Amino acid sequence: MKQITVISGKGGTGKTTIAAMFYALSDSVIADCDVDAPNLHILLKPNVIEELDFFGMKKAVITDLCTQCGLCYELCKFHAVVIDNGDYFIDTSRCEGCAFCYNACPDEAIEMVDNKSGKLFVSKTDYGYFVHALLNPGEENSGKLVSEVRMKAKEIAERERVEYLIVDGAPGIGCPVIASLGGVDVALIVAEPSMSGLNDMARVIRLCEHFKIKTFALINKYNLNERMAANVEYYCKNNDIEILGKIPYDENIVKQISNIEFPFKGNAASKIAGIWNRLKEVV
Amino acid sequence: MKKIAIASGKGGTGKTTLAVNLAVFNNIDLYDLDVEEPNDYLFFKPEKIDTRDVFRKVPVVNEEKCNGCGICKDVCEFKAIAVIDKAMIFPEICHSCGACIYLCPEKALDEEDRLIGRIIKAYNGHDNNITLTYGILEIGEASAVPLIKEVKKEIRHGILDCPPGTSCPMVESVRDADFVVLVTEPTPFGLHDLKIAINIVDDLKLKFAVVLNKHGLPFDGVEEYCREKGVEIIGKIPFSKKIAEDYSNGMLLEDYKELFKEVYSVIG
Repeated sequence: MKQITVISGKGGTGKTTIAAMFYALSDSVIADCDVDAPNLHILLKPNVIEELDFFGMKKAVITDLCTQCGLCYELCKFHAVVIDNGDYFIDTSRCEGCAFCYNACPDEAIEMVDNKSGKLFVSKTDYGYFVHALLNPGEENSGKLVSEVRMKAKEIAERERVEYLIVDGAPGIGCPVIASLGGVDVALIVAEPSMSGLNDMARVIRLCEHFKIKTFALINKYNLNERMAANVEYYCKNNDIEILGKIPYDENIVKQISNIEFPFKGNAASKIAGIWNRLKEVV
Repeated sequence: MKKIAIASGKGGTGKTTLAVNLAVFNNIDLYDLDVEEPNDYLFFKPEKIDTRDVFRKVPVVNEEKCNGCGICKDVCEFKAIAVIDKAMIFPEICHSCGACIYLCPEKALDEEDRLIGRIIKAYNGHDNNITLTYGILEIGEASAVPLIKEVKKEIRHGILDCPPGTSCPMVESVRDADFVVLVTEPTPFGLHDLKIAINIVDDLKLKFAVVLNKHGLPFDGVEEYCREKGVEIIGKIPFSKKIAEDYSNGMLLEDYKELFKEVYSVIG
């Protein structure tokens, strides 16, 4: 079983559209690892068969044993301890769960409590298994949730003996992206022919190099700016990244997304199928 | 003068387009808090720039004092310390909470600076006197939040271009804003992520409104939802290949100058 992560650096370049098509075209399990803005389920119309709670870092709570000594307030690097009328409280949205206050409090007046911060779902779709999640708004630790989603998806992929595990990643280069890349066979970057797209692709290529991951790219909507598309190709060539194909801007896909008609059909969809065939060869 | 945050939930909906054009056409300072993938500077042709490095504190082991007792490993909730004879630190996953340093009975841990990124100030973009300040995160650094906090220290008022998503980097970026503009696109994806973003700004008790980008795509769900929930749409940027092309070349949307002035007059 081969693991393929679809990433982009820049948001909105078409990761979800492309990852969903790969899934529909293959014997695979797919994992939506963009856990704070997940969209795959909109296309895949899943039947949820298992629902699990996700616990993030435990959070500090100050109890009645507090003697207002103020040590926790002084020590907390995240400014999560607040004082109101002489009483001490934790601002949970700022608490990172380091437990420094818990370990340091001379009166043992701080408890660390479970923090249910999201949900993980195992679903079935017309194309196989689908693992997805939803982080509660504003929660941290999306990297940890991404790791749990991938672990669950891998377990199912191995059990079902499918050929591929496809991971739809998050934008950016931070913890959720790093968690979606660890230990995969191949990263596929969905680039877009714009200055921002090129700039962001360059940073995510360096991230893949940093973690020594075999990387390929494709250019989506290449005909919106053919000069910039050529710049993207040139950059990839200089960095030894093979471009597996170019997908034209296609109004049909825009309409099909609006009406949620999946799998997509038409010119762009057939180009995506061609790229999938090439990707299978190189994985 | 206010702090106006531009955020979205979904990536690629047009935060950068809105932020840069609002700032330039209304002569307001601009801050790019999307430190993982900052792009505002591509649209802002500065005369000169200043750069400074940003560090955070991570522990470093004093091999002579460490007796391998393992307390530091036990108190580290982020599993950033292992002990084999002596303590070993994994600085890339350390959250810089300082617990290990304070709680080590041998005082065998010192603080060391770790580079997490840079803050760049760019002056006099587009022949006016506004300033762009942005952070750029080191590749491989997991958390954007400490750098975002550093960039925020520079802000008095202006336009804040925020990272996509709805987790900690986005929350840190919008939390002290006077007003949040949520940029979305008329697609089922845009609507889904807009709902999550609205939940967050509601929870944080922030004032907000919506700008609809790529207006004209064949999906009415966003406008229907906003009408139902009483969320104001304060601007609509049309869907056009010309706009997509100008954006892709790093150009401002001169043809829509009045639109950006109007949006600012509602919130500024």
